[in-house]
Amino acid sequence: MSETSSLKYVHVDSVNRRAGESKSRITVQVPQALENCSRIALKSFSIPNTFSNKINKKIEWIEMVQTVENGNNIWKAALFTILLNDLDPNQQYLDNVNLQSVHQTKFTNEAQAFILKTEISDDGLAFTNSGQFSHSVGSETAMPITITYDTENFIFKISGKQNVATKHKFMVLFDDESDQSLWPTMGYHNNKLIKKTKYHSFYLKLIRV
Amino acid sequence: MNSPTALDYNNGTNQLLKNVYGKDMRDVTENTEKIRSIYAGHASKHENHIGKINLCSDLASDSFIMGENGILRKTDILESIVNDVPKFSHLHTSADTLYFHNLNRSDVTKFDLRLYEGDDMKALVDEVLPN
Repeated sequence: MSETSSLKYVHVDSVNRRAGESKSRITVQVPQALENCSRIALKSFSIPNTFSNKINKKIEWIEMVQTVENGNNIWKAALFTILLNDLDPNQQYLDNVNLQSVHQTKFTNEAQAFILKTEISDDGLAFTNSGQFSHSVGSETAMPITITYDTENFIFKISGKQNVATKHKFMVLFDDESDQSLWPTMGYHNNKLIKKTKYHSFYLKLIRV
Repeated sequence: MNSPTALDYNNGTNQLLKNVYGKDMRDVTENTEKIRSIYAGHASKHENHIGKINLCSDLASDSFIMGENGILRKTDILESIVNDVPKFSHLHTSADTLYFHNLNRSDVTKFDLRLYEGDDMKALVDEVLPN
């Protein structure tokens, strides 16, 4: 017994989508119903590789400084956020060199306008967004941060310099798991970024040191 | 026991910062700028950040994807397209051997197409997509 089959092709050009319809989610009406169709496959697909890379992105990190209060050794910590939502809306694309430059401007934080501070309680449990632009932990002055980009190896590097040499000052890269973090696309492995849910266990190890 | 030094934290002698992207930025002689820098683990993919596109459809509901821990998850991926072309070129795929999905409908008058990014199936928002 022989089996016969015929193939029919449906050509979909998303340029012809209905006004107001999403670019990533379209409904296709077939003018003549495909009858007795038993299998489906993609024959070809084409899209310009011009995806924007600067939509709703941010970088975050936690700084922890060792201080002594009433003879007790404690750690003060805060979460800092840099948002990339104030760039030229007509510029849909940032290359790595531009990204480094934008980040450096924001790390420099002139006029205290770019680094948003979230307080972390002394027990490491509560994160409270102050809505304030500030880059200080406890009574410390802001730590200068430098970001560089190696154009030969395509590697980003972040460096800080604690002004008060007598104290430990940790900088740990953070991801709030909102899919907005730029760290992974900058080359930082996701599984080595501190998550909010894991910060407390990290903090408990820290205070045991 | 002596307290760990900045160098202990940054060279892994003390394990606290070993498995995270973190450094002790204390400015002391032995803790040089190179030692207290946080280097990315791999090359930046920011310039061509979408590595794979999943084209999904309600017609292709017989697909599975391997998730974390090797657990299979049911999906409706019609085809996964790996982005292996330079930025600002055209991502194009054309199949000589078709990968068929079984279809449990007698007539097809309407279907949907959706685009997702990568293995974690993040929705591609309109602002990211080209016109």
